[in-house]
Amino acid sequence: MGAPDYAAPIVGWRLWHVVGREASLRLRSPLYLATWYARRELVAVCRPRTEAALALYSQRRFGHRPPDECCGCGIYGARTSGQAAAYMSRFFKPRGDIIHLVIGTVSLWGTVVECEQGWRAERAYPAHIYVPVPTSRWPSLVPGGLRRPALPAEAIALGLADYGVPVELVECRTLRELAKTLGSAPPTLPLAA
Amino acid sequence: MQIGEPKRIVTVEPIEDPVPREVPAPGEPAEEPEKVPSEPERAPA
Repeated sequence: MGAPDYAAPIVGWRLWHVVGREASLRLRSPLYLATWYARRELVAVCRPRTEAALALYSQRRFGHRPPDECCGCGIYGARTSGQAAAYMSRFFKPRGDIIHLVIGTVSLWGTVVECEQGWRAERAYPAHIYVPVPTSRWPSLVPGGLRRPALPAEAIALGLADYGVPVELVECRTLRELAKTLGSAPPTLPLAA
Repeated sequence: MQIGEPKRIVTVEPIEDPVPREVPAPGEPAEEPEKVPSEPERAPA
């Protein structure tokens, strides 16, 4: 096996749901609902999402180790905070178990598929977590407004300290304002090994 | 999340662990490295 391409993790942007788990707060992938445990990396698994996909299940299609170039599997990270923030509107809908939706940077490593606007990785762990704090009095009336979390933002930030990475509160009225505050400068690739 | 089409596959092996692992609880002794027995001194001829 040859030398790796990079000796430091690639850093992208992504979203997480915040959910309650055994009296603690935990991050969870919004789409596949994978729990990100504190102080343990997440390892990608390729699995079909829907019953329809299960009906088409084949070893060839899903029996590979993610990420696969021809499959969409892997742990996602976007190049800019704006991309992740734009995705928030899709998952910022009230559901029973979701306490809040947070955004942040994620360390990606292992086998990584580099894509035009981001990456899909084999392994990942949060690098920096930002907890949006809606400042609008009636956020549901503001176009692109942020919903209030089910717990105070400060309590959420305290709970996420379990991950051992920086956690920041970010006051903002809208998703656009959040993206602007976080900046859209793309994370740089690490120096080649 | 849309991240576009794949361009290439790379291998990333971080020198430093990206995961802040569990730290020992206060009061617990830190692990000591195993002591390797040194070679006995040679007896003088």
